[in-house]
Amino acid sequence: MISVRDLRVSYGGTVVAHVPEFDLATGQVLGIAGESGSGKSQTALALMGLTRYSGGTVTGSVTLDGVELSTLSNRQWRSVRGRKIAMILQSPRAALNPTISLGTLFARTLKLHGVPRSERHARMEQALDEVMLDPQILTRYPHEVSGGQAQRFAIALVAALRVDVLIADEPTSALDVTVQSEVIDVLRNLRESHGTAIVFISHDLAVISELADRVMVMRGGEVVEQGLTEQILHEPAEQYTRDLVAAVPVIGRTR
Amino acid sequence: MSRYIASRILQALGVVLGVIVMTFVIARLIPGDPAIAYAGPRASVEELAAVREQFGLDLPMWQQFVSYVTGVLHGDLGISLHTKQPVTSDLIQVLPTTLVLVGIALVFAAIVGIPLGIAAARWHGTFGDVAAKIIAILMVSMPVFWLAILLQIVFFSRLGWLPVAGQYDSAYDSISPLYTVIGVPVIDSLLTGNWPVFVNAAAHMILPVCAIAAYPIGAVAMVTRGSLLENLGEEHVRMVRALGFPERAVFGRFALRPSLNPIVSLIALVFAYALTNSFIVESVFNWPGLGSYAVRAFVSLDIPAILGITLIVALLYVLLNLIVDLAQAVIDPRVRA
Repeated sequence: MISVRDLRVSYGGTVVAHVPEFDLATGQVLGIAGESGSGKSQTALALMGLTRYSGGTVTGSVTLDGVELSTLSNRQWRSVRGRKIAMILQSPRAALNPTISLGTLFARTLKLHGVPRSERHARMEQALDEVMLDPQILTRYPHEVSGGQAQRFAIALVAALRVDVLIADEPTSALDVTVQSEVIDVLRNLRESHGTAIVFISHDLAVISELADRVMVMRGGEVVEQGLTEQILHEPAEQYTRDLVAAVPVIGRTR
Repeated sequence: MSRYIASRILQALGVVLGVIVMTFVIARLIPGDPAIAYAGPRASVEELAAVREQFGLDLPMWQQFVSYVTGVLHGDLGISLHTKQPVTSDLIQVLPTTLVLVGIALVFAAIVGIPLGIAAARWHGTFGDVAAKIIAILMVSMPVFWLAILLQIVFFSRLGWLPVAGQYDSAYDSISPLYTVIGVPVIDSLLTGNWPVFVNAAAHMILPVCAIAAYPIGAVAMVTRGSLLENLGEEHVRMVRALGFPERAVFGRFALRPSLNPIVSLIALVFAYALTNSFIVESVFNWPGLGSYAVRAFVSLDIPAILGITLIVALLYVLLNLIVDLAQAVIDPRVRA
């Protein structure tokens, strides 16, 4: 469904991320692992076509259902973002406009994507139900909800839009461990009930391994290693990956 | 929200009380004898004593204070020493002119300055952005007396497009007489439907309004630009872009609102600045407002008038800040919490 070939993100001539290739089918989850500065978030921005807003350029090819995304104009991107592909971010509360209630944001987004007024309410309730949030939350403002609630709300937004691909950029890193697993459950549920393909980005291989079918390990803007999750976890080929794996806590193992 | 409003109103009342005390204390610290100022330098000792008794200047300080505060609370600010009229009625006469002038200038500044700042942020780093910044800096740095005279030279002397001074041409008094409503020709003519005078009075307003609005326009544009750019770097802007909102909505419906609070605070700040500038502009354009009244009060050591002016300016400022606090609570729900 989504295919990437020789994707390069650069700022002022410096390449900050280079992804030779990956393919992602419906319902699959690709984990991108790596420390900060490894280029994983830049890869996420490039997949969303948002690199231009931070002053960078993207070369190479990204196709979604056969449509080449890298050459789309701002106007053409509008029928892709929020319809076929969406994104959730690391700081869930900072990712919500502080002056707008969650319900207003939700309704405006559904309106933008052509959901008729009569259907909006049902869509919101259904999506909130999927992420186990009370519809009461729609009356709240971002500063009145917890980080976990905000992240689940963002996922509900994505679920209601029924996108094919979700880019999750460090969606659990700012959350407590218990809240992390809630968010992972909600994402797993999203994949199972809607067949949403997910690009799951994290510095934490343990979190990635809970969800991802395949893992891509990045370092310094380059892909170090790529393969099935099991294979990366148990038979890492590169030393860097072994270091990342060693950081994964396993019950019963002492370090 | 209602608790927030109540606490703000209480705070504002506290400030007003403080100002009343301060004005009284400062007035007693000013050197010079108000009795001499009123009765004239050649008054006899008996005349001075009579004046002191008339104005209660012979009473103990605390009694003077009590009678001052009681008076103020009843709207009695004493008798002006130079107009020999109650200060309250003097202020009612001169205040509307200044408020209309400053009010229109500030509204004008917001209407021009905010879009200018938005445009500069929208096309950040382009030639237009640099041009907007230069214009803003020029407007902020031009001294108002110089700008006022420059405007007169260009638009009256050279181009002959606009009148040089006054509120309207008195020639209209015989053609289309003006009825007084609040004492400001441009508003009175509008309210009474006197179109010939309204057009003429509006033309008389353009230059003074521009002179006062220049600084606010520049300041508002620069703060709007900065505040918007700061918000554009926030995650919530990335989020709405990722949700597919077009740039127009990203700016207009999402980034602008959290950027508004610094702008609203700034407008309250420049109000005080614009009010002081209006004193100068009124004298350059010969407008009979608070400014001209204040200047006469200062030079004749007219303490009741000076206190009245101080008090009314402080009251206006407190009122405006109250409005700003409430506006900010409406704009940003975090303020209410």
